[in-house]
Amino acid sequence: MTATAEASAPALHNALELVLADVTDRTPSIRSFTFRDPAGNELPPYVPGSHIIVHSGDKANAYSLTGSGVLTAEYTISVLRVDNGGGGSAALHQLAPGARLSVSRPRSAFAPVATARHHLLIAAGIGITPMLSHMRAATEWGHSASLLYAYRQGEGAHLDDVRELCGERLLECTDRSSFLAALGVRLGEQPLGTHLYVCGPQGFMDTVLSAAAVAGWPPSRLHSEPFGTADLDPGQPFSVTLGRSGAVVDVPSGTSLLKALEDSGHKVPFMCRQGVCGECILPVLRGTPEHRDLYLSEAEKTANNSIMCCVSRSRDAGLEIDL
Amino acid sequence: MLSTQESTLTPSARRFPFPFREDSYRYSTNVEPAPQFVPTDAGGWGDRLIEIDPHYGSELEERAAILDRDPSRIAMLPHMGPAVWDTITTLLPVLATDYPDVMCFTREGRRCHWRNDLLGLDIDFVIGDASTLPMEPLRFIGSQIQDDIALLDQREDALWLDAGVITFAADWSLGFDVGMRFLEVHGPVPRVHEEQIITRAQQFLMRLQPGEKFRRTNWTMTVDRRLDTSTETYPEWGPDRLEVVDDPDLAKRLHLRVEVQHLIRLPHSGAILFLVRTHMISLAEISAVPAWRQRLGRVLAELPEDMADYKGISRYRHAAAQWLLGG
Amino acid sequence: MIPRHSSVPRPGAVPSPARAREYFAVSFGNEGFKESDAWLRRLDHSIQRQHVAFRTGDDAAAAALQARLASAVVGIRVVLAGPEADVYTLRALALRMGAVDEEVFLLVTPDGSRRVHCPHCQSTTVTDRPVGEVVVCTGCQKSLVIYHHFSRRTATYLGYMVDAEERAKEDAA
Ligand code: HEM
Ligand code: FES
Repeated sequence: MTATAEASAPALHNALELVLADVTDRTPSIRSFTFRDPAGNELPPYVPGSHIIVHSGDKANAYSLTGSGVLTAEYTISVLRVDNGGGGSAALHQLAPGARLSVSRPRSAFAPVATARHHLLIAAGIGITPMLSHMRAATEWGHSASLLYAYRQGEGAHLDDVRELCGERLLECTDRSSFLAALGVRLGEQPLGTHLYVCGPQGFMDTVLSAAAVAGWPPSRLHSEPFGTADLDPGQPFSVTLGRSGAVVDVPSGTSLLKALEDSGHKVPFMCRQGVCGECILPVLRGTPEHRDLYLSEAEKTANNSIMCCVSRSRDAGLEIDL
Repeated sequence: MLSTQESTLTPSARRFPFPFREDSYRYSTNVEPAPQFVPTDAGGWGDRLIEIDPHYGSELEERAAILDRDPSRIAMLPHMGPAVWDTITTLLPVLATDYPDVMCFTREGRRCHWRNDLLGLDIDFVIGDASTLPMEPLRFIGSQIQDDIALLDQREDALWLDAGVITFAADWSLGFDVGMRFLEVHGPVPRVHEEQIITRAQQFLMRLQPGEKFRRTNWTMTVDRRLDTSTETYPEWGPDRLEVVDDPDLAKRLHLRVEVQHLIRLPHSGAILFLVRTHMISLAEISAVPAWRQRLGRVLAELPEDMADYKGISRYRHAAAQWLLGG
Repeated sequence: MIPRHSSVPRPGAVPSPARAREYFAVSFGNEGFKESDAWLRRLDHSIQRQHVAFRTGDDAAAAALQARLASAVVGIRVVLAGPEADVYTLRALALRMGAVDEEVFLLVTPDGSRRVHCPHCQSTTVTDRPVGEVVVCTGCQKSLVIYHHFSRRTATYLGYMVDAEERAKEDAA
């Protein structure tokens, strides 16, 4: 599954510089890319269903990793080519082995539920990619899992992989009516304790989730791939006036107000740099902060007279703080 | 300016994680990135994730004896197996990097080799195969570090305390708490709920990304450097709380007990690894550092009654404050 | 007083039925039977239901729930009605068998019974005493104060020795 991150790519925090080791065509429009560490070191392990953010050109996209996440000599993603998409899939498709890319560390936003008695995986099209990861991990740990895979004839990515991996545990559907029939049956026969995971186009996910709700599945058993929720977006650049000296400090996109103040020689107390501890609070004299912290209460946020400068930014050009 | 008497400082005072930033103490979501060196008035601490000190051998022996005596101090719900392996493959390399003279870890695929000269241990094991370790995996990793270990699973929009090996608890019971949500675990703590400290902590922890490491400190006081102050053994150590008040040896017997707690998102299982390392220093040792002596005295004198009651220090905290501030 | 945010359960308003494939109800005592029966009548007629009633919570009730859940499929809801000690014990069983909170409906009839866990000897004592009062542990005879801390996994309150700290004084006297 793919999702477009910000149109202008943010600087990747703590990124990995990897080399493209292999390119394989899965279908006429889907291509797999395998990345390795240039020095041959192992890459960080990851939670099944994780994604990485890949930079190509001035675009950054999130792609699901397809391995189990345990032994990580390499990262493999599969990319559907979208010619007029906002992301970088077309640019990626042009890369050849040997290319060097900046890749984020894996981020987890679609994890398997550890207490599940059974994992029911449901994928359509390129949505197969996180399911491959889930299925591989379940197989390695000896957990129970099965896969329902819908794809258009001739466009099923990773068919060989999933057939070999799943055997009996795979059901393939190549048209809508057979998929809906199979879905109905599957939703009614899962042992108590099953969790359902779905990935595919939005309409497909909506169909599956509402059919599950009708069949009496409670929301906490239903999981769909949400991209980008784990990342704090880099924010717009702004500048801030320091009330006591009148000095103006510029805060670029991707840099926190706290960092910008430090860089310009101002000492602000801090601990977590995550918006939770409360140390970095600054009084606001003018302007409207864009509150992104977990520390201030809703009432304090509405009052707009303080700001947690490690994560929060400004909604307008006229922010002035008491410093 | 208060000066420190270098000569009377014990080595453990030099590395002691003195927790107070001010002359009064209140609860907060006091997390910071780890590891990170913090200078103190006596030296400093915090440059390593896992701290090995001269008590290593004796504390691990004590843990083993407690677990033999009372198996309820180790608990693991059935789904936590991968998280325990994740803990092992995360911590052993950290140890090997920080203590290369005495520890060595190598891995090829699922096969691992671990050497720990401090314990005379040299083993090969296979990730996921418990029979290749000398004991059950959770107990094994608990036998390599002085820290107590808790593992939290994330599901249903909450964190769950689903496994742990806790032999040095500060007045709580793993056997009772295992299986609870993070918020339920903190149910007995005063103030933190009204102040949103625990909900905020949970949100923060749920957003931690794989490999991210944070830490916080917590503190209380203990009579006689007793590590095992669990609820289980309360009938044994409870009487000390009263006895110590009138003891002429109060300053030697009463210890400031500081927990350095690490919060780590494990890379493959996605569980939160919570490490609790307990450090203790007597009031007598503290008095060698005048700045600490004064600060702890003021904190103890000022601490609100509900917090002192909850920490179990009400009976003797004023006597302790008096000794620290008066002498 | 029990702090509002403690782990102690607070039976709230009667839960409303949810979209489900079928309901399986277990009730205890007359009150429990009536509550459960009345609640099941609120369900749409087309929804399948089964109600098993017991005089008190015992192994037979646990066995009945266990047998039903062992073959249950996702879509089932469990309704438990009766005194809190019985209801919470069976909820713990349901959760252990793979149910999630949203699938378990509790109708607690007030009778004040509760189970207390002794960490000093690991036994469980059943009592009518409220939180904050003292009960004698049936395992080790220690006086335990019933603490405002509750485990849903074991359906017990934590009890700890109430006079551990004074004991030294008495012994010395
Ligand atoms: C940022 C994270 C956390 C914060 C801010 C936090 C905060 C606190 C505070 C303020 C106390 C009271 C301590 C005292 O006065 O001595 C406490 C107690 C406790 N905490 Fe945490 N905590 C955190 C993480 C954890 C984690 C991950 C666990 C893992 C299980 C945990 C387990 C406990 C337990 C068992 C107690 C004792 C509760 C009792 O009295 O039964 N904490 N915590
Ligand atoms: S540094 Fe902790 S809230 Fe900003």
